[in-house]
Amino acid sequence: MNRTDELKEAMKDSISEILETMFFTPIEFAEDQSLDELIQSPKEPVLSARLIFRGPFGGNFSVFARGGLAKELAANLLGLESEDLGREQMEATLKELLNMVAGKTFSLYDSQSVFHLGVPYMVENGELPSVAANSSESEITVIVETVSDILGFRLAIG
Amino acid sequence: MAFNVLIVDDSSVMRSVLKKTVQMCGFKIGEILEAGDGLEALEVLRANWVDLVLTDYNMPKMDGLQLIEEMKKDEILAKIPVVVVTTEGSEKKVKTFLEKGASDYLQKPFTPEQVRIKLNRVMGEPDEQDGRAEGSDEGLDF
Repeated sequence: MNRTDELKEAMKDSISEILETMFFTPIEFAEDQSLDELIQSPKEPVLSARLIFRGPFGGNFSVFARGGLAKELAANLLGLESEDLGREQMEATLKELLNMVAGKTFSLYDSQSVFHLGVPYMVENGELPSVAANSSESEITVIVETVSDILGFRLAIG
Repeated sequence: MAFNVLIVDDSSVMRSVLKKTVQMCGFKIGEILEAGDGLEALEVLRANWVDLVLTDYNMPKMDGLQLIEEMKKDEILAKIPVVVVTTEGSEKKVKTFLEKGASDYLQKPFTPEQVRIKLNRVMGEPDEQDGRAEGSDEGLDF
């Protein structure tokens, strides 16, 4: 297996463990869905969080979710009703989800090396990646399907 | 005897999750205090009696390791057990946490049961009669 395949496997393992353990959200991997479909969806604005990392190699890690799913994840994590949650808690939840997925991915990929993770931040709509971005070798995308919607993760190296 | 816990994390949602989890661990908890980074944590520690610190590693202003280093410089704060709660999983990083003086570490994601086991190790077994949270016999849920 090459680095890209190993990282993708580590991403998938960490995403499923974290969503099931901390968010009580069972998932399936949606190999037939693309990040572009999610980002360009006219249905609902997409929320995205990103963090920069450095270590044996560097880059950035992102998560993408529509508002409805972000609210559902926040409600599951905090044990509250969705109606009680505001934008701030949805954003904080996405940032924490990303932080956990990134940390777990790198520790599964290579537990001997140290990866430094930056503090996650929200990305505005205008800064979302373009259609061509996820076809590059240095971009690894994982799309997962929950009961209600899809959720995207993207690891960009370099 | 009830003990006071300080939860240090720049994420308000993680502070809420940890607070809820600690309250369900069966220990007699007095006050649960919160801080958003290491600097704020030091202020809280100097103004309150704290028996246990649960701290994130990756935070702005002052991270979890720097917080431990500052605590070790203070005769009183140096004695407070610190558990690092982190996404960091590299063996080298974990070794650094322990060498700097952390009592233990807990990697995210965690289950309530894992938190309870860590607290037992650091603080000793909770009083089964008085400290056990109602309805927690079947395991812990967030």
